Amino acid sequence: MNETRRGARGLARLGGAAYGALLAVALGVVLARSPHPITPAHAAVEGCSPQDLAHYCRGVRVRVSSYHVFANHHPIFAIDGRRSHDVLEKWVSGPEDTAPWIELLFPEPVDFSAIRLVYAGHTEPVDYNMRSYRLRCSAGNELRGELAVHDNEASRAEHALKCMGVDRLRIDIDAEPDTGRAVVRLYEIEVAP
Amino acid sequence: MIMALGVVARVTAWWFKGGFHYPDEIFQQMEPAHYLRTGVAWLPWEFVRGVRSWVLPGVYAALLEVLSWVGVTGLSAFRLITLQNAILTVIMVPAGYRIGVALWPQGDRDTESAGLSVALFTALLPALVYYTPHTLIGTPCMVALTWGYAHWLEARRSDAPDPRSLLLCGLFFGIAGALRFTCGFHMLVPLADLLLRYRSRALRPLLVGAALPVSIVAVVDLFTWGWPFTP
Repeated sequence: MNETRRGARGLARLGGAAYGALLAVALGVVLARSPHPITPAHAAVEGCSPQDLAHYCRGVRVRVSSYHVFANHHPIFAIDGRRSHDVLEKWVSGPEDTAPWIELLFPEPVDFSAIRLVYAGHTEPVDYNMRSYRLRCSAGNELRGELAVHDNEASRAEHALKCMGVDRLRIDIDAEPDTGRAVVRLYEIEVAP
Repeated sequence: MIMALGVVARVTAWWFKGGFHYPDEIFQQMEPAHYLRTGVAWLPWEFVRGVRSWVLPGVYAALLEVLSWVGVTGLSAFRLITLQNAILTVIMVPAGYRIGVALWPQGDRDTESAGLSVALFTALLPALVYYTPHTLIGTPCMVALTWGYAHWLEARRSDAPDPRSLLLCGLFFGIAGALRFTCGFHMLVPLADLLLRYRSRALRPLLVGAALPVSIVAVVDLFTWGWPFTP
């Protein structure tokens, strides 16, 4: 009886140690990954939003360097097709993020000619509009178009950028610490055919 | 046999359970865990101010990660984690047995029955079984406290302090208190009893036992909030 009990106890300890080791490895994987937030995958709806190729209803996803998680400024707001005046409904980069970026992932290659960015100034102080950023479109790793903007003042900025057969559009934004531009406040990205 | 009954009761409670009982099990545990894995979550204010530890969300994040390796995600993953919690709490049953034995007069012929009665109680008490398939921070605290009580009652049976029982008592109370400091209220009577009974001779093994879990929380707090035992 004592033998059986000892055996069971040893087996339980071994199982517990193996389980703990598995969890420790998994936690290590999680912490090493340091993930960039990405919006959920939505199935494309046929005929949806022909004037805005960035709308999530076309199956587009958006990945960001970070977002202001405690204030719930999720990046999905940047591709929800709404130029909202609700101050919640915008993507805001994380306060600690010194090199914010946002990347649109198209479900299939697209052609477009212009990008419209709706910054916070359309409903909040214009000091929140980002001045300096770079737009790059690519097909896989192949860069197909690039545009650098250094002096934007517009709340609704429109940039001509011709991109053919691309599956992603990335915008790297220069945050300006200790100013209203310390974080990115982006209400909407629209991509016009 | 009693442990098997406990498992059946817990799996039944898990099977028939609806969503969450308290929002905390989602917003204080699973959302932060999801945040660690994906960078996306709806985090409550406690995680802004450093009121909560990241230890348990870290464990749930690891579990979510392991489940994702075998293709289990979303609600199914959450359901499996609650099932795991339910089944793991069955390790309280042996502690219940030892509490029953420790409470009964030593050498009495009914000692075994006393142990089995408390074990059965621990396995099947409806309120206890109900709370096991949840991701509440109280669930692991409850398990640690039960083992802490078992070792307290075993330690107080002899006139001379038993270092091993006191060490394990400190360890389990340390785990419970480290997970949730309000669990400390449930330790006040046992700790006061041990200190009154054995004076300073109890203090050292209790502190040594508690040192490991408390240190883990302190280190995690240091790295996540910038200071041990924030706030």
